[in-house]
Amino acid sequence: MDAAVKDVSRRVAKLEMVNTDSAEIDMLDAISLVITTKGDYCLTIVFYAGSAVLRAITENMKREATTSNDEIVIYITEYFNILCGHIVTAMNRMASTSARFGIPEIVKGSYFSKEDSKKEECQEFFYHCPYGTVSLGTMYKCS
Amino acid sequence: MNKRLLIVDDSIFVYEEMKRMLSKTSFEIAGYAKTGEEAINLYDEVKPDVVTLDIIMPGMDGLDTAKIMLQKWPGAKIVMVSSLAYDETMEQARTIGARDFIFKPIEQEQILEVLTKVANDK
Repeated sequence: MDAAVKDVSRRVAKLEMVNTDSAEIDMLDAISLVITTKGDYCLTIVFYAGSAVLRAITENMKREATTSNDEIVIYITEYFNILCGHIVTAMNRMASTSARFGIPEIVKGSYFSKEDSKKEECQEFFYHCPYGTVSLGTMYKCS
Repeated sequence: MNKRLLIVDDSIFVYEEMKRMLSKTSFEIAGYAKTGEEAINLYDEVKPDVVTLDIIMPGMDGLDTAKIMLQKWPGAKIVMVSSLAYDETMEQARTIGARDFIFKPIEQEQILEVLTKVANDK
């Protein structure tokens, strides 16, 4: 998971993500991108970030400035798609399983509730970059 | 003569990246479609030497699009593009008749190698 976040962020979004314990996401216009895998296992993956990070990812991918929220959605969705591809590929390889996923869903604010975050099957990792903190969360919905 | 490429991907980012990576190469981007349906409608007009086809797309996905393309144009040379590099979808794509795969994030060396090989396949 860690390797996927760092590698994809560096290669696709030209951002260095560093592990942090801080759970303080900039709440201004924060969104969650969510996918749930289908196939041999059912895992929900959630990327949660504020507007400054989302804009930086978009502008670095696009190689120019943007003011359009629609554009941010297009680019951030592709970033998340690639990130999930790496995570699910690694899990499939490790366990010799086959799972796939579809188009990410975008949710305003945090996808996981405070109750979710306390559950054993829910894991959240935090990363810091020069534009703020992001989180990557996973939750198994079924076995 | 340049090889004609039809890019099918709902993400404009992929199109822009491929355009950048393939400039000054022997590949010409002859068409771009955001959906499978659009690509099928464009095929006869574009007459591509190679089609790159994203697997995860809204509406008709890449596998269904490949199936229809190969029924209509059995000689179509299709390269599937995906961020997922290990699942049964790859086997399905091979069975349908896809020639090769490109994994995201797309790297210039990888795309050129795969497209050149597929374009020169009989």
